[in-house]
Amino acid sequence: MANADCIVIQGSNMAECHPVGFQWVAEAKARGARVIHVDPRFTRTTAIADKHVPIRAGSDVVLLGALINYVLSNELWFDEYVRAYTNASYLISEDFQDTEDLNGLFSGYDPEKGGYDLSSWGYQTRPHEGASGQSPEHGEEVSDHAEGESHGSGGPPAAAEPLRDESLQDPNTVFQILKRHYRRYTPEMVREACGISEEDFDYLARSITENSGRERTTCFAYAVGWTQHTLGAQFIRTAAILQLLLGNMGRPGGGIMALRGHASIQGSTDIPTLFNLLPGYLPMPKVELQSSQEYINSIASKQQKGFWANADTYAVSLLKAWWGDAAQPENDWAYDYLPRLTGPHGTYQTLTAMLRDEVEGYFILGQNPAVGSANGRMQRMGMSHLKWLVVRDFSLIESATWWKDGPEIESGELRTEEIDTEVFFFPAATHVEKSGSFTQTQRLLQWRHQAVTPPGEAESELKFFYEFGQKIRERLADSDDPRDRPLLDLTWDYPLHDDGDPDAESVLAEINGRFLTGPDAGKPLSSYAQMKGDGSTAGGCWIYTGVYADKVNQAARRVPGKDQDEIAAEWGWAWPANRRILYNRASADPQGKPWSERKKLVWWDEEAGRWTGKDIPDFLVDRAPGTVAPEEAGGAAALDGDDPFIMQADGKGWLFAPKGMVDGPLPTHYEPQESPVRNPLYAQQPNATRELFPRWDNLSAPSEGEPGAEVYPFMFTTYRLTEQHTAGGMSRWLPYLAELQPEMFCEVSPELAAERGLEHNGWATLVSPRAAIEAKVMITERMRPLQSGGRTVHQIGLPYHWGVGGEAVVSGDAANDLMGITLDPNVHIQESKVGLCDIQPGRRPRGTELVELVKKYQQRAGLDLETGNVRVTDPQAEVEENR
Amino acid sequence: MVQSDLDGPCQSMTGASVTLSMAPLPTTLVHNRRRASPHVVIWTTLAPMGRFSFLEWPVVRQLRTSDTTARSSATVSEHTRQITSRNATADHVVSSVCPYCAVGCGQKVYVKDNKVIQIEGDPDSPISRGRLCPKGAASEQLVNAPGRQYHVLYRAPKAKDWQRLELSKAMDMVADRFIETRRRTWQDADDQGRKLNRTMGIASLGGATLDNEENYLIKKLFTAAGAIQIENQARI
Amino acid sequence: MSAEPKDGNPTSDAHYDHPHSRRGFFTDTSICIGCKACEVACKEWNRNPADGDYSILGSSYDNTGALGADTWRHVAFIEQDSQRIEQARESGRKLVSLGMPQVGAPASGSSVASGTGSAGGGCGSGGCGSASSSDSGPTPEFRWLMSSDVCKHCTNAGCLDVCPTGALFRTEYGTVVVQDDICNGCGTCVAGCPFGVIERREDGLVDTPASREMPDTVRKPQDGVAQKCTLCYDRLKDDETPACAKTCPTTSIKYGQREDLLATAQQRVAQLHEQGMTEARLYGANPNDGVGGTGSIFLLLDEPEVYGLPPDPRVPTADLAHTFKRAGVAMAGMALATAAAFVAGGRR
Repeated sequence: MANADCIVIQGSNMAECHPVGFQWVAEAKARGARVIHVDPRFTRTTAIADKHVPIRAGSDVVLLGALINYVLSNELWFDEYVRAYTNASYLISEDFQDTEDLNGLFSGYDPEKGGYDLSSWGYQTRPHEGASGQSPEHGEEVSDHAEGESHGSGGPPAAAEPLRDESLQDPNTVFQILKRHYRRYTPEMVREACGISEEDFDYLARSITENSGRERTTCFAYAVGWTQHTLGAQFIRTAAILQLLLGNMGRPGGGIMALRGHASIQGSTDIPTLFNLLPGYLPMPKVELQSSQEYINSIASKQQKGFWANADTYAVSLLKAWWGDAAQPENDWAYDYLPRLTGPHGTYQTLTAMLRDEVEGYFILGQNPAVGSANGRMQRMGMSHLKWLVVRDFSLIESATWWKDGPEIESGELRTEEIDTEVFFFPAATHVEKSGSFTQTQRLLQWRHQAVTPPGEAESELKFFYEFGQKIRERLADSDDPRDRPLLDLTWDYPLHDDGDPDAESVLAEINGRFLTGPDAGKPLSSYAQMKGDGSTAGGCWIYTGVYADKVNQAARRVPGKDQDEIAAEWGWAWPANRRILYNRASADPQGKPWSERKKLVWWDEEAGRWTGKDIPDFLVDRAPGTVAPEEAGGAAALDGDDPFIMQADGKGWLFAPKGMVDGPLPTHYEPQESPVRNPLYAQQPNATRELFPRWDNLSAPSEGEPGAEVYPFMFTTYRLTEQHTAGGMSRWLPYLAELQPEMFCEVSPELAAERGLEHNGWATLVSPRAAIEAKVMITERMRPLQSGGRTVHQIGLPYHWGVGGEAVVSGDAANDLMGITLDPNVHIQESKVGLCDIQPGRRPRGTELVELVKKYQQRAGLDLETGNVRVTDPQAEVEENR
Repeated sequence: MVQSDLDGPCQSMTGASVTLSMAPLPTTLVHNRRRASPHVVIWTTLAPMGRFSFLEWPVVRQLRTSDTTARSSATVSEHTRQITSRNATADHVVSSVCPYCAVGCGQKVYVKDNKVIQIEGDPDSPISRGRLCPKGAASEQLVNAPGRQYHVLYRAPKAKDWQRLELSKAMDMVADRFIETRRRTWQDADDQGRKLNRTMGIASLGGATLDNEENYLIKKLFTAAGAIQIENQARI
Repeated sequence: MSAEPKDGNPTSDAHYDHPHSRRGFFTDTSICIGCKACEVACKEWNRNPADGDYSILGSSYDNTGALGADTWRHVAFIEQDSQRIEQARESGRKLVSLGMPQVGAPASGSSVASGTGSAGGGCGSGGCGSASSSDSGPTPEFRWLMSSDVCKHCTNAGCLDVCPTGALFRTEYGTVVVQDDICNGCGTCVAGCPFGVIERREDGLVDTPASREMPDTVRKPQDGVAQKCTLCYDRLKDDETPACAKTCPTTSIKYGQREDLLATAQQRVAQLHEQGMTEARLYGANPNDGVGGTGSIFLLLDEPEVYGLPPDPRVPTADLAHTFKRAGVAMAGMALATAAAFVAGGRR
């Protein structure tokens, strides 16, 4: 990042949320880089940026799409890069129809399912590969599966031999489709939709295009400001398209940097405590995949390019790691030991199941959903339906005490003596009281050494779950029920330290994998390329293979930064294979030479016949530029010398996503679930494939143009502050942090304050269709009303760190109580960056009056389950509206 | 087996010593113990604490040091002369990583008598170069927080308050409930007869603050038990 | 002895056997992101109690208010509109034309170029000449200033001069430190500080809960004595960087030898002036001000008052050294007279 010439921070408040990471931005700026902050609010990041571009929350695709249009219509793309490394020249099926043709929807939309059939989005392929010219495996996609994320690091299967038009002129080329798709994303549209002036847009467009190319690179940084939307995954895709066109991917100072909020949020996705994934982004099997072969075929075909073609070796090695000798070819490698998915089973679906009394037991491990998850009231009510609840944390967080002093106790909606839930609180060990690794945001694993033993009865999750597993297995030891075999056959024998803690390094070794047979039996694998699908290797997470190479904990390496070059390859260990910049083959031109001396990273060493450079080449080390792989080859062997995107099925960067995104192959602007304006681009107002939860405890506000919209007239957006951490479990209990941001507040513009009679440092009550909360008022010019959709749009800022409970040093109403639950269909993340509400001066009422207030608003707006929950906007109604 | 003490992680499973910035006790002190300039050392020997020394008499000291306005060296007390960095008193120093956000800043943990006495940035880290944000800088307080719980607590159905419970008893109770719920809510197959092999009665939330090794065991155990509703903060 | 410290180091008259160079802070507020890591790291190291009653102050993002007995680093937040920014620039330009304080605009144009070729952004010193340049514009519409304040460790330190017990002393690093074991809590120093930095701590001990009893080495008795930044005197003794400077994510707080810091600060002001930020100026760098310059130097982007700093701090005892000299002569005279009297008497 320090190598960038221009840094666009959008959807992230980097200086506040990642101050130490921000030092690299500060350093780039000191070297002369331009820093632009695109954000609804003027934040501490903005304070030292060169430029603030205020934006209406949720309109980012319009802005980014307009930048794509700017690049295309002014012929500013990096031509050689785009032609060689992207799928610009690929031909898309003639059945494909764009949103321009269908007024906001792509071809294949099924109103019954509320999702797309993706078959018309595929590449045109050589005739012998499927009669219709389409890739045969495209037919089965249904939107209610998590396809998008399940291939997060790689490419889902796609046709092996797509047709191309190198001239980029064929109207069915990705390039031409892209041009048409974004044609109406103009600076005027940006002004209309985002509230950004044409001058500011011009500044931004010139900044990034003048700082891209051979000699220069531009970097984008984002965080949950992009992901927490009903089309969050598409926000990132839009930036990726832009960065590919400008040639900024896989190069120093380029790329798109995700800034994430938890120490191991990357690690907990790689080794996922997520419903839809197994370690290494292998998908959890769906019910229709009844054999391991069907399962593996659904991930990748042996004929496709890149490293996903070997998915069978990763999957079998995982099953061997988990079930050892019990996983044999005869029992399909114990594939049936894996439970099956029948749809999305994410945290919000689980919540509704709780409310239906289908979930009996719930573990909460270092998370605080009573405060940190959307629609806090639903979260707490859901927990009151449980039979038993286990909370493991450092202190008595609100998720452990809602039955005693939660908001619903105060409002009378719950009575402690009527709640049947058993609650177990287990004290957890802190990061210095155990050993283990975190994976940080750039995929770097770093080992922590234990400093002290945990106090009292506190213990690590490692110890707790190891012992818990032992206890369960002991209880089932005599069972002959087949359903208990997966637990009894589980490899669960880790060496223990004297105090009974399992040895974390031995778990790391299992994750890394080892040879099971042959001369090297028992030795750790050093690369996932060594994995086999015949049961001769085991490995718990293929992308982490190498972290324990040579029986050395590579994540614990700490060669001081000052003794290394800027890549710092000997500090920790990055997956895959210790590569620091993914797809870095793209940092050299098709002939293997660096695009420029200034931006060199890896290059082809002609004499040695190898790729070399500052980073470990993310490519076949001896595959020469210009190599054309044999037609019959599959997997890595099928990569041509100019296929840098080695995890994609075609080795190219995807401008157009023929698979993998369930809500469209090209990012398209839709308005948020609750929006103060009509979609200026299409009749279709919101994302037609968003996941809806129409319930009386999760009502939505009407968007502009719908009846009752005036009842909830203001936008609100939630965010973090530097001084606090997420839902507060690790900060509101600390006096030194609590004193720095002691009370819940809302940030409003002077204009809005005047309109509503709000007083600085007085109280305000905010009401959404879900809840009413109170907050101290901070009137500041850092909040500015924007002109969008022909009206003045007021945005209210709400930090979300506080919660109601009696244990923390500081407490307060929770912003997430205001939020509704509506999800992005690709990754099932809720939309918590935009909502609609009202704001009034004064404190909120107490007791039942509070419930009455929320109800009164709902009635006034005429809310019902239909409100905001219509998938496809009626085009006829739109036409009427516009008359 | 693996030997375990405070710095047990230095040992790999095979007993091969892994080269780390943390070595066994007590050679781990990273800072030299230079206390002060030599003349102070001489003075401390002349004037051990608690014993009156004529030379320490302020007026004499003032004249002796020619600090005639008595605003500097002449006023230095014995206590002040003994001052040293708390870090220098540590029994050992351990390399760690900040537990808050995903930047992954390096930390040095200073330990004395099995207590954390200070946590600060690790200057060797190429990621953070010794720096920490306010949360990272508060890590010592996180470990020694006033509101931290050290005991297992249990709330019975309908109860108005917590009660203490022994750790192993609590785990037994949870294990019993886990097995019972699993049995009661087990699904062998869907209505088309396709295998499901799962329970929808058990869910788990959290993991983004935990170690990779911990997430691995959690996912492994829950998956083997057929519990699929496992989620964490990546979804929020 | 001389009233003017040699080498700008006030320790040189303190007669340490092994004096160190004078140490200090340079706080460059132009790169401060207001994260308050310095406040936390300071409290964590010094085990100072949390401040106040956990209520929001309504003063932008500042909720600790000011420097005091418990808060030894304090970050101020100032929100300004374009009119106020223009005033700040204007006042900065005046300082330049007055030749104060060491902020001439050097001719070298090499230091910091803007990122893009054509978009330029080059504002010459003395303001933006080209009105056509849309970027970096003549004056931004709005800005948010952040500044981490700390004890100044004055060359002529009022607190030190008035301390009747010798609790305050000038260290071998040229800093001013309270000795807990000597201070009797009389509070004279509080009135002696022109910056309002030093305060008596009223509220006892900070401690960890009984279940995590700390070793004696980390406990700190604090019975109502005067408290302020020590520039981490204990850490300096072990060649460690003060806690605030070590943690600062953007190096807004720099620690080092004061001479070097002063040079860095002057370069930085020149650089900002070149970029058109004529509002940049130094605070505490002038050896002729009312405290003889300070050990902690600041780069400010507006008048000191804006940050809550006195524009013209003056130590009540500024002329004490001269007074002492004169008093010394007088005393010598009296001594002579007395001696003479004795002698005379003896002869009697």
